[in-house]
Amino acid sequence: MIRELPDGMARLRDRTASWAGELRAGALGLDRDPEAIRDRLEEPAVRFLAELGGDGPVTPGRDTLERVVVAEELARGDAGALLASPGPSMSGVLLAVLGSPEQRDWFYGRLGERPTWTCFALTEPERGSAIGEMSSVLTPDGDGGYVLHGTKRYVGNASRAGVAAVFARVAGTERLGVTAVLVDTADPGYRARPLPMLGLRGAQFSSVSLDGVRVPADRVLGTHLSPARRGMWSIVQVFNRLRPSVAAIALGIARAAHEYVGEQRGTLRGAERERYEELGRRIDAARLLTYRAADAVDARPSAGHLGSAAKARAAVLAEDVTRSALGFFGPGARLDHPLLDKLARDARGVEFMEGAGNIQKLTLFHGLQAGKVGRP
Amino acid sequence: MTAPAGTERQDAPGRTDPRTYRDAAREDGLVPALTLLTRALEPGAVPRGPGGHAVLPREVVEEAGVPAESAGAGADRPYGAGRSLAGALGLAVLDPPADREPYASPNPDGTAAQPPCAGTGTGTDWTTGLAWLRLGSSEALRDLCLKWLAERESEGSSLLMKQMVKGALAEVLIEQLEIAAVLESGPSAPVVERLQEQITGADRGLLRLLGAYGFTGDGPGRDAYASELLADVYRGAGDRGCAGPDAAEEGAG
Repeated sequence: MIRELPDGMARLRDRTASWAGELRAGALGLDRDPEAIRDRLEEPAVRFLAELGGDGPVTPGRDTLERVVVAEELARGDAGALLASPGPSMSGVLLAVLGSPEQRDWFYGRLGERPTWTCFALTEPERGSAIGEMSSVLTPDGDGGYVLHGTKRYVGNASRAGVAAVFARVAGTERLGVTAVLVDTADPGYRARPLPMLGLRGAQFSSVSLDGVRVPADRVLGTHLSPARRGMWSIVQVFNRLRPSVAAIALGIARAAHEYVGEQRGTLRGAERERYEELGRRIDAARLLTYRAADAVDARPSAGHLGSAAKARAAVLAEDVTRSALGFFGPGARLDHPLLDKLARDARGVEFMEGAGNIQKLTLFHGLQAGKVGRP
Repeated sequence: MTAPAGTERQDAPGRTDPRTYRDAAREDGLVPALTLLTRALEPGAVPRGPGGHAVLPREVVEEAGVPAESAGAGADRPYGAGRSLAGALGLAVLDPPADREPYASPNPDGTAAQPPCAGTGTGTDWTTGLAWLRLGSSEALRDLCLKWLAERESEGSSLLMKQMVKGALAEVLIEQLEIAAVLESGPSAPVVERLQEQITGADRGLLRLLGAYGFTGDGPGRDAYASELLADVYRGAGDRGCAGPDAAEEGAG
């Protein structure tokens, strides 16, 4: 059940796959100390992520699929390092959709000076990731810019980011008045503090307080687009493009656990072998769904329903496979096989990235009701 | 089933009603309940799982005269954040004694190897008590979910009143009610093993409802993680009678 990929993408997959050993070797250290990534900035995978996006995708027009392929392979090495690395990450996708050429130049210029972390500040303490109910507020300053107030939580890399993409509501607008802005984290009013987490600890999820941060007019994303395209319409497209990559992170975690069992247990027989192979078939099936989701978004950026299906399926798969993997070893497997313990903890974290399972299911239902998904 | 926490119920002279551990976990927390369980079933000892590991309240380990810092087999291998997460709850995580053969090596026929039993004792009482304790901890997590979801709003109503959330909570409740019913029946060791998996599944279902809050290292997910760790370390202890006393001089601790 392996789908053929375009030549350039297949080469990229093989290249990123070749870094898995090194990523795995550093995985437990990063799990203990998320700051350990600072000592690994010269590793090929970390450098690749730090520089990603400057040259555009290797297969133009297929960039969602490309991100999926890369995310699975790097997460198979270590999802913690994938999320811990400096680079454009999710903000790069945001810039691709909503950024003007000047804004992209500024963003990638900052990233080109030195390894620079970015963050994507969406989730809020009271309302989670419900974008229509956001309480962070942008108040117009009279010069086309804004003053930003609010609190964010569970934002990956926020405490070490140089540039933050922040979502907030423009004062006086209703739920659709959500805007994305770029914030220089050195500016007064931006404060971030790491939060202790159970897994995906490399990402150094943080809380962020935004206390009167000035946002000049040229850091407001989407203002060069037509009014119909600058707000929610574009933001939804950003999430449509990101969701298959989150599914791919889950696939990578599941694969890492599955392959660990294969490597450590050697030949399996009987019921154990059947159980092992069934897990592999489930991973392959979820990958096919994830590829389809990426294809759909690459063909039509508003086609996000398959991404919801892939993300919901892959998040559960990662939990199931990592739990099952522990069962292939004896009592105390979590202590004797700390990498499997880490994978089991990491797997749980995918659930809350890019909308929890229930949110994805509601999105799917709306798509079904509207006749947008589930038709040949 | 409503005995106040910390009150030991007696179901036979000198024997604690195992439902006590459920009450203690639900009312007082996982670690105090584990202290109660260990003192009742293995007083003065450090019960180890079949693989030779132990996860126990730090004070219990220290009372038994065993160093709470692991120094046994595997103590020098790379480790992740799991141990410190358990440690922050007040749990000591002990590796097997240094002379124990590793468990992971497969038999030539591809089946899982069975380790030498690292302890002796009456395993079924321990694993059943542990299942009651983990159920109580799972029920405490359910209580917390109800409160947390009731306090949070989306689109004008509390999250608790969303139909999908109600359904998910009811699914977990069905699991927990069945687990309690089976535990009441005096289950055999293999059945208790199955219950442990079921309890983990119930906890996972509840944690999903808490979003990222359930994934924080100092929130309710940490207790659920410790509960999973207990199930893992003492897996099969009922079958193999390995949860018995571990004298201080025997344990490399």
